[in-house]
Amino acid sequence: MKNKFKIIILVFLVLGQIIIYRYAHPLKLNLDLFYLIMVYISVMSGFYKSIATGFAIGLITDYFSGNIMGVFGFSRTISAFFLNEISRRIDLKNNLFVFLMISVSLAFSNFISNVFLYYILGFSFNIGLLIYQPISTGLIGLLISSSKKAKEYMDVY
Amino acid sequence: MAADNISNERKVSILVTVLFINLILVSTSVVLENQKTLFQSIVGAVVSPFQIAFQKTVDYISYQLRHYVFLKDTYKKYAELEKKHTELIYENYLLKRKINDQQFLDELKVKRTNFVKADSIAIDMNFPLSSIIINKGTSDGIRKDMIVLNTKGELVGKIVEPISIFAAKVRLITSSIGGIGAYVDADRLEGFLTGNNSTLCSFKYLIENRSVNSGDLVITSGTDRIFPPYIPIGKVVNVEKDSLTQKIDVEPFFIKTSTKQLIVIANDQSPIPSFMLRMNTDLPPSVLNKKSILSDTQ
Repeated sequence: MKNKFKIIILVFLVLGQIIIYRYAHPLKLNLDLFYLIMVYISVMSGFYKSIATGFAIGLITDYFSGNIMGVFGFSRTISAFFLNEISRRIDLKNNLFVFLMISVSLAFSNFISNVFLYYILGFSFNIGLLIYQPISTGLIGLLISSSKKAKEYMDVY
Repeated sequence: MAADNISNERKVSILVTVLFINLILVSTSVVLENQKTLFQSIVGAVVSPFQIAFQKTVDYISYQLRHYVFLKDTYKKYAELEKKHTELIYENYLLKRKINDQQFLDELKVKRTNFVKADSIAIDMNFPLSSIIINKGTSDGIRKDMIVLNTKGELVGKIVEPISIFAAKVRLITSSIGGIGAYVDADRLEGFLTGNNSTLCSFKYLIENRSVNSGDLVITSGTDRIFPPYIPIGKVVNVEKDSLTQKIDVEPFFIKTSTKQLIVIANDQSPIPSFMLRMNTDLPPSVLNKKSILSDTQ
């Protein structure tokens, strides 16, 4: 049952993010559901898996965003590392902390990416990337993991 | 949650290595001016099949939904569009006709200059509104099917046999024989105007799709190929409607004026231009059926 739940959530996040990338304009959604996968793996797994996941998710994000390869790879790797370190010191049963962990880490990660994009491509600092996306992604993460049952299924204890 | 037994130095070195790889990727992309790198191709090759497979699935599902499930109101929309299409064709027809009418009026101003003045010399006492005899005949150039107007230029009738050297018979438009292609000028409701030897002519069996009011002007349409268009005939005096059709009574203008002096014009001097004859056939049968443009006149 736990594995089924995890697979369903994984499929939902992957398909959801592909849909968001494809229909970004009509949907007007600014979410990074891949990041939630990375957060879960970083929190639940060890160091190597966290770094590898951050690296992979970052490159996939780079691929989908169509920008320079490695920008999100860099920022997500750092983010995965910090999430892996910090999660052991956070009470994940408290939903507020879950929300803050996702939002703040994503905002931090996006900020690093935006710095790269600012200096390399001349992109301006994007409020959507730095504020809206972290908050909305944090809310989705909270929505998924807020109930006790979900926490139980996802082995968050 | 997993707890690693990895030394901090090892963690930092691995992290730095991975970050360094990312930086190499970034710098490679910048050096190659955003051209596709080998690594980018590898990532694309890994990710894109999933992406394409998903997108094709979504496309297929959305196609099925759009073409089979969300067609609930399609027939209704189709009917509305068909109706709109018919209306537009008809509107187009009317606009074309207006343009052509204007051209024809301009032609008439130039061409209709030759005419013969005539006096009525005999009236059939039994059917006074059927025919009259005028004092001009073949010696004056009078021929069959010439148009007869009163001095105000309003339609009176046409020349019919017998035509002698010095006299000719005029069949009045109020005669029960024959008829005139005519229309109500206000809304271009066209039909075949027939007389019944009384003071009124009438349109019969016009489809009751447009309203006609008493007092509306009725003029020739030219579609009968005998009477040129734009000749005033009379005005509507009575409209009777039933479920599908309407009967419109028209009082000719010449009834209230003197027919002592008449004007005979040759309709071949102002022949109906080919476009006038063509116009009705320009309309598709569906429109003709719906609008009853020709059905009442033929």
